Amino acid sequence: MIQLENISKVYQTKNIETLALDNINLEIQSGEFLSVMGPSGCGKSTLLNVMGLLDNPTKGQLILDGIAIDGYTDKALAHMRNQKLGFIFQNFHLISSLNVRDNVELPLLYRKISAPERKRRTEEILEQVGLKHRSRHFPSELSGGQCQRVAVARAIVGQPEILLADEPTGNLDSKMGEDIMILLKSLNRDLGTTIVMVTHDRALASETQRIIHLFDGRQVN
Amino acid sequence: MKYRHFKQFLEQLGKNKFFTFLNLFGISIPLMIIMLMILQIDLSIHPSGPEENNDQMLFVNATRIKSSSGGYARGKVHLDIIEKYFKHQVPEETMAFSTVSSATRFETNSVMDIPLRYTNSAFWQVFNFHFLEGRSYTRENVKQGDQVIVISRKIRQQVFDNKKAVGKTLQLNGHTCRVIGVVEDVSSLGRNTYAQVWMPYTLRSNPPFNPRGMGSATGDYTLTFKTTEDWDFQDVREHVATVGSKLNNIMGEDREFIFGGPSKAAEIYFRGYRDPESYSGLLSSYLGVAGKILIILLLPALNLVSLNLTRIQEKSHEIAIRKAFGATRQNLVVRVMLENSVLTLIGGIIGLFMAYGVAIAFKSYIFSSYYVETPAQAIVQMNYSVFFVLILVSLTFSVLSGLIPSMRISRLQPAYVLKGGAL
Repeated sequence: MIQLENISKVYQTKNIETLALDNINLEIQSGEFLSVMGPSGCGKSTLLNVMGLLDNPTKGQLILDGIAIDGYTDKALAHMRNQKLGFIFQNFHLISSLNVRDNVELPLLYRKISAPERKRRTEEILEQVGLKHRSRHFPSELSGGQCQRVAVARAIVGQPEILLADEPTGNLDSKMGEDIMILLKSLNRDLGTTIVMVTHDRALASETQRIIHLFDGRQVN
Repeated sequence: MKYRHFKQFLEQLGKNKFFTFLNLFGISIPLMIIMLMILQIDLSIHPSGPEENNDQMLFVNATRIKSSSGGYARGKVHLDIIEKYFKHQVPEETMAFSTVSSATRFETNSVMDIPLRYTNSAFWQVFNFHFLEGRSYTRENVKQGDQVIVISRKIRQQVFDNKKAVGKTLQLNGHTCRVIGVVEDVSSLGRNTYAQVWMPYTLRSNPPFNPRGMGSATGDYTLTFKTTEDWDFQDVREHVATVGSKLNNIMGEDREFIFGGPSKAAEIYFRGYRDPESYSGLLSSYLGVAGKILIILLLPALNLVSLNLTRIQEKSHEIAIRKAFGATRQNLVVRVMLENSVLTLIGGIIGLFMAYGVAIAFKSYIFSSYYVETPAQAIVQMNYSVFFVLILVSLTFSVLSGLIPSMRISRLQPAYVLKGGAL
């Protein structure tokens, strides 16, 4: 499903060059639930961003669903992000000027789906995450847990084949974190969604099928 | 732009009131100034009322005599020149001539100065006056020097209490004048027609034409030629040129006679009192206006680019999220451009209403006329060409101020922006 071949990522500023990923080789099968662990700054989020086409690798090749990504046009990349990928960000990254419903509906706006169908799907997902009664509220009116549930709803409303979750429980209390984890596991089990989750939490990671460890940008399994 | 997007955008504008105010202010004020400029030019070149068909007319409103010693005289056209070289040589009903003056009317306790215009009879065929009652004076009236006048609605109201005026008399400049017609009020922007009272030019004494006396070779009449299929612009120009060369011969070798024209209304507006020779043409006048508009536009446009950079910087987070969930660069640029277009159109419409408000409130100052002493009675009305210009100007603003920043931000990697990276 996801194949990384000799992926490296270097961040370059005027005076400093930072090697965030160093020659990563990884293959993730369809339907796999995998976690990425490692200390802060080891390149976990960068790895997720590269897999999710939010960032370009400096070197190496990314293959998604058997197709090498390099050389893809902006339009093709956008299509890929929209159809195949879903993101859950650690800091939620909700659009503050949009209400819950409009935030969740976002990925569907870039598909050829009628407005009533978009509304139906959005309401269904909001019900699933227990936030239907908050659909008219704005992110600033929600708690951290509710914001993360909105972010999860937005990530899965388009039923992506791959879900990339960057510390999805990092800002939540243990109960909320557990709820999110149950939701992710059911998506993986029931819909066969491939999930890559970055986490610091060893207990959560142990619930996934495979754990990848990163250290200073290198895979250390 | 879909209704929901539009609604969301308006909500965002409402939330960020100060920015919205700055943005709209930056758009509407320069647009208002441009609108007023265009309105002023437009109303002066195409005044509503009797001169509304002035596209079909040519005017001779200036003559200049230069002597070889460097002296010169300038003025309008002398009546004797009109009588001798034009009156019987061009189709009679196509040539109007008139001169502005003022009439004094003594009332019991006060003296009333009334703008007056002396005209020939064809004046009423050349220009489209709207008669409220009665008729205009005829060629016979003019020839015999009948003391007849046409008055405006305003004079009828002031003097005759808005009752039927035809047949009544009015004491003006020592004449007992009989009212034979009442016309709708004319805007003072109508520089070839404006007056409150019109009377035959034969009621006025004119100094004789003297080709050797510099000043007495010019006069104070303006000639208007209404062109027809049989008497077109070229015919008028050729005739005026022929008369000009004849007058040159009469003047003698040490003097040169120059006609200012025949010119279109727009040329006369832009030329003003300048010598005909020093005027470089309508194209350069329009280029001059376009240049002024560009200068007025340039500063706020740059200001808007800077404001937009800030706005798009603020929106960069939203743009990155949209990109992460499938928006293409084109989606994002179009979205920002549409928002900018709506913003600039709102600013444009505000500017338009402000321009009309200011034009109506201050029309005496804005539309002041060189030719009459009374405040301008401009009839400020919606003009589609002005509105079209407004739309173009607004969209230029939109393109100038939104395209570059939105293209730049949409090129950035979402991960970079979500981590707090900027343009």
